[in-house]
Amino acid sequence: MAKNKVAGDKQVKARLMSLERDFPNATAAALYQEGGEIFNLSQEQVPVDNGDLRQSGVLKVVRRGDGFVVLIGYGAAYALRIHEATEYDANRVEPGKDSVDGRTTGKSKFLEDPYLQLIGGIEGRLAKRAKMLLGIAGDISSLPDIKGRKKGGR
Amino acid sequence: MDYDQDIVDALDATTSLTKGTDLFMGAVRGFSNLIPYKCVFVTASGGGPTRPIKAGLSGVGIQERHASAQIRIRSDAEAVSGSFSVGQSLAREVFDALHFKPVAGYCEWRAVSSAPLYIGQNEEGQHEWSINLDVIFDI
Repeated sequence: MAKNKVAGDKQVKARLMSLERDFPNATAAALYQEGGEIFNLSQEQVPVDNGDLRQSGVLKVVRRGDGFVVLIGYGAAYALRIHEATEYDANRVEPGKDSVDGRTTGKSKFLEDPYLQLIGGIEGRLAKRAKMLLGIAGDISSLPDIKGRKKGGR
Repeated sequence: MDYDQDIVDALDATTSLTKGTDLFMGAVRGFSNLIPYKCVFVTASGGGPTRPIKAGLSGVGIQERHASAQIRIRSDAEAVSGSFSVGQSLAREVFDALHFKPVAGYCEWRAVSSAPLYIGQNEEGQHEWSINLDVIFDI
């Protein structure tokens, strides 16, 4: 648990200034970490044939106005169709299992489901992460964009 | 709660669609002598976790469920003139009939996007749209 004792107006002012500098960085890093949990789960669920769709996945944090936004998505042109096409799930191999008879692994709703699974309680987790990262996290340039994997490495 | 059935009933009552003719419950199925090209499918598709909430001064515990339904709209065959625009109009009609228009017994029906998602053409060339609906109710 972080505790800060300050005495005197100079120390208070210095502490407030460091908070002003560090808090946005900690918030961005916390968003990045929480987004990473959703992204990783999504990478496990996305259908894989030759791996192009999975590799088109991206996670990044961007500045928007006074705050930050974490973006998680898939850039393949057919990503939306595959995401919504629930009718093919019956012929796919369950995510995380080996492909059988040349069938693709994974499932539809490969982004929506991880999001719904992990969104509950996200405010509290973000606050905890931001508190832990206060004074440690670098600025947004220290958070590299992450791309999806082609194949393997579940 | 059979919310997929309730959505089908609501669409049957408030749109040009007719249950069993061009409005179906369950997974998307291909064209057959029973299922036309231009039609709508409603599927219960999971949703988010149940959220415990407290109601009233007594703090009685109730649970709010956030289920989701997927509504898929399919156009006529591409060869049919205006199949895209007719399909799009149908998708918008469905959207307008459901978004923020829950039937009795539900807290809210809320589309995830601001308009039907166009998801392209299927293998047979029909255009398709998808609407994802948050279905919120207490238990």
